[in-house]
Amino acid sequence: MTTGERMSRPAPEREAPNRGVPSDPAVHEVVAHAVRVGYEVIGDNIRQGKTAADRITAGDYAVKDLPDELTQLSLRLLQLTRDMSATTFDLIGAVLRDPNLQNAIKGLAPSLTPAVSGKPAAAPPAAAPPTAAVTLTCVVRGNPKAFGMPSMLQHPEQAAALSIAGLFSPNPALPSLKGIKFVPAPGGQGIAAIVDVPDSQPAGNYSGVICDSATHQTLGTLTVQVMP
Amino acid sequence: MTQGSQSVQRPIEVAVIGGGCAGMTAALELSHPKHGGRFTVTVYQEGWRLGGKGASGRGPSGRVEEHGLHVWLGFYDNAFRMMRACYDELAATGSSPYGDWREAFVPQSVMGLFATTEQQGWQKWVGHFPPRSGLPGDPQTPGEMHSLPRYIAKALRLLRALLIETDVHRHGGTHRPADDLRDPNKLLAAAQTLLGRGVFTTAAALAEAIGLLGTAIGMLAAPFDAAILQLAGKVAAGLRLWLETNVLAEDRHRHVWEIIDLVLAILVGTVRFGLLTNPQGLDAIEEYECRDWLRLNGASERSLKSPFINGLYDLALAYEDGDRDKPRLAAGQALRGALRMFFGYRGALYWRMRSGMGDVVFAPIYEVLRRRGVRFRFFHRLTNVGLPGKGPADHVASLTFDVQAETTDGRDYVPLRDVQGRPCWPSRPDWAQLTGGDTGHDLESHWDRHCIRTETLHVTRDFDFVVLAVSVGAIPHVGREIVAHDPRWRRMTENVKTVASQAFQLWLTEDLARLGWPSPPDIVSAFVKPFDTWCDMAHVVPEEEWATPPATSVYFCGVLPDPAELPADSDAQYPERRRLEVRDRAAGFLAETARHLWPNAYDAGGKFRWDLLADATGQTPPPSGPERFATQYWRANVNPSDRYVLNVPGSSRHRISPLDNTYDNLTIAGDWTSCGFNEGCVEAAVMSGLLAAHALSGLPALKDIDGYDHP
Repeated sequence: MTTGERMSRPAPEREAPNRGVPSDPAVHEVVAHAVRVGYEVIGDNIRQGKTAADRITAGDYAVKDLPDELTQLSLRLLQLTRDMSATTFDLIGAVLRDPNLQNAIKGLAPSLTPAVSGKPAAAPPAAAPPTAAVTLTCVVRGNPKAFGMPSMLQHPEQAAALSIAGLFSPNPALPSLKGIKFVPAPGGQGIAAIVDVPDSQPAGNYSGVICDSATHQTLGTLTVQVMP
Repeated sequence: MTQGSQSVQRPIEVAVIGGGCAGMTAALELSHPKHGGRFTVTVYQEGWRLGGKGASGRGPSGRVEEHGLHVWLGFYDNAFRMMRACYDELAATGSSPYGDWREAFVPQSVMGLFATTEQQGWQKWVGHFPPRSGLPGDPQTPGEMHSLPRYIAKALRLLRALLIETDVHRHGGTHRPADDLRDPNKLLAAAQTLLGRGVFTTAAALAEAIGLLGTAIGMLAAPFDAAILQLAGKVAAGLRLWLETNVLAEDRHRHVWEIIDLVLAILVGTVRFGLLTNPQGLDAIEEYECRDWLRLNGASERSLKSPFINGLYDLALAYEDGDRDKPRLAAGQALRGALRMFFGYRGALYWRMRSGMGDVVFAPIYEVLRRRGVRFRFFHRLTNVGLPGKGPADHVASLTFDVQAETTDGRDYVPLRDVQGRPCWPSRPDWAQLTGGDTGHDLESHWDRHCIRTETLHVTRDFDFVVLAVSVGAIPHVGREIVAHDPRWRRMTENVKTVASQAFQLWLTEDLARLGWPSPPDIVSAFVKPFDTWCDMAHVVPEEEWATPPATSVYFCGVLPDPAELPADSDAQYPERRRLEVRDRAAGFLAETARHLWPNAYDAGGKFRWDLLADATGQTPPPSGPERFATQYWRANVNPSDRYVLNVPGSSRHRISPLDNTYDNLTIAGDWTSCGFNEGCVEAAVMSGLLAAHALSGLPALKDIDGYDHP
């Protein structure tokens, strides 16, 4: 039993959830870019699939070719579906999470303009990469004698912010290459690494390990060769 | 009056009314040592046990008898955190009934769904959801909090995983013969199969993708070329027609593009409705019915009828009035729930309890509370929350109870009994402790008003604060004065809907593998109404006290349609009539429908083998034939407080928050309140209990209630 003055609850600081998120106008643009890239990648393959379907329906396939062709087509389109999430849509998550990547994509503003009116999207991209891997294109700027080695990047377990400490020569006396940026590949397939190589860079092979900056999971390697 | 409780020196008396998850959470918080004894808590509970809709009891042979089928999803962080703390507190005193909490909750990663096939058979889809790092209830990693962009990325990863990992088994229907490629006709069939397997099931998804992505592009700010969209639309439309005609009748593959279709619709809708940046978060679409919203964003009719969507409704019992033709689920919360369920779990997708929910959850909570000095008043049925007779109606002035029973010696009722060395709740009161012995009354029935006396508590004399933690179904009965006085409360009771449910449990002498069920023990939904959801509970049997343990037990549940007119409070036989309905329906289910699940449970003549049912009652000889079903357990959850809380479109805005301060010594708690996760489930109840505690004490901080500020 209690006696005394009636008590009341403390005044609430608020009475409803705060569900809002900081508004970022860049989000829509980034998503738009990823969506458009997705369209370009799959659009052409849809057309190829439709062509194949029409041929089958019309019966103008050579019987001996049919199983193999269909199997190949099956695998390629299935692969493309996987890539649709592996490369394009997962970039949405990666982009939204990684301010550096966002800035890099913003830097690609001209590529965000739509394709020519009335015409289908750009030419189909190169063949799809193997399962659970992403094509890594290396774009070298500066030194005309330097070129990047294309490679495959393991698909991260979750949306990742890519990081690389630099590209290093086996000869520790040679200077390393720093300031590498990652952006979605303009063709919509995979990721591009942008490496600035000064004219003064000594000849040799320079390589480094690409990691998920959050988990430190190793995802692949990047190599640049500078010719003599 | 003392404004705020900070200046009060004496302990503050809190009356917690209702011993379900919400009330117990509030009691645990307010009695926590962090408050230094600032609150003195008394729990008032009708009948003999805690648990509310999560109550369970031990029947003959110590068998677990539940209200329904309960699983804890892997994103129930607040609920798991509470239970982990309880188990830790008991372990510190050497009295934890199961040791570590992980001994009491069993992780599960497989979920099954059913769909009818074009050939009128049944197709079962099995989803394997891989274990994820962490455990539910772990602290959230900074930066890993809930955000829609993260969900988008996760949704697409799941999509890919499903493409790769989904496993389909067909039951019934027609199987294709092996293909002979030398026969041109069979070759064509083989081509169709190949197409269906790899090309055009995928292409269907791609066709959907292109159309939906086109919609997304059109909604975005950037100026995209309309001609491209038109072209894309034509390609997609033509191909979709081709696929619908030629390929998608192949049942085996349809689930793949159904998922893709749904995921894309969600993605499109997320962008289209500006959900990524909307200050209301997903509440911005709370007025939409879930299927309508998905349809609006391009989901196909086929996908909207898919087992995934059916399962979403079935698991949420989302049928207004229990009518299967009235599926109603608010889009915002449905999406929030689905996103959290599939992308927010830690450890495992869901966790089953090792024993009854009463034993695993409420017995440990009771023990912790009792050790902290919380008082329990069982057999107290609330009949009225009284407002002041004069002056402003700004607080609760009295609480009136029907006292249903009293102990013979005047001491506190001892509610638990040991089964297999663990404290458990019995399915019946321990009449031996009570005056008058077994009165034959059902002390949990709304229609049995047995009462030996009434008791009225008065503010300042008997309580200071009230946590009203009964279910919303009971509010019109116990909160008549507030409902009559306050239009908001009236609108809440009118718009926050509840549904009756039905459940039955079987104990079988053969395990499900022998009966023809080919999959691992999992939860299965989207099956035949009304018992559309069921779960193999073999792991519970060792916790029971059988002389000859059965091989397994299986729990079924589903909604129970309401009658055209609800019964009068004086209709004492109503619960029993509904119970008999459930019994007959369940027995009929076994006699016929269960053959789709367990073909070997039927003899050569196609009759159910009733002797598979293990008899816990020990009758000699046990009943035979359909009469044997009487040895199993079933129930109709028709009591107002037992009814499952729905979230129908447009109802969320009528919910009242536990933080609402209209009545300055009252807070409410339950999964029917505006608690941030407005869905009938343990997590919502726990969140509301935390909010109620915050309302009275300032703790826990709102930022520490996981998911309260979820978009």
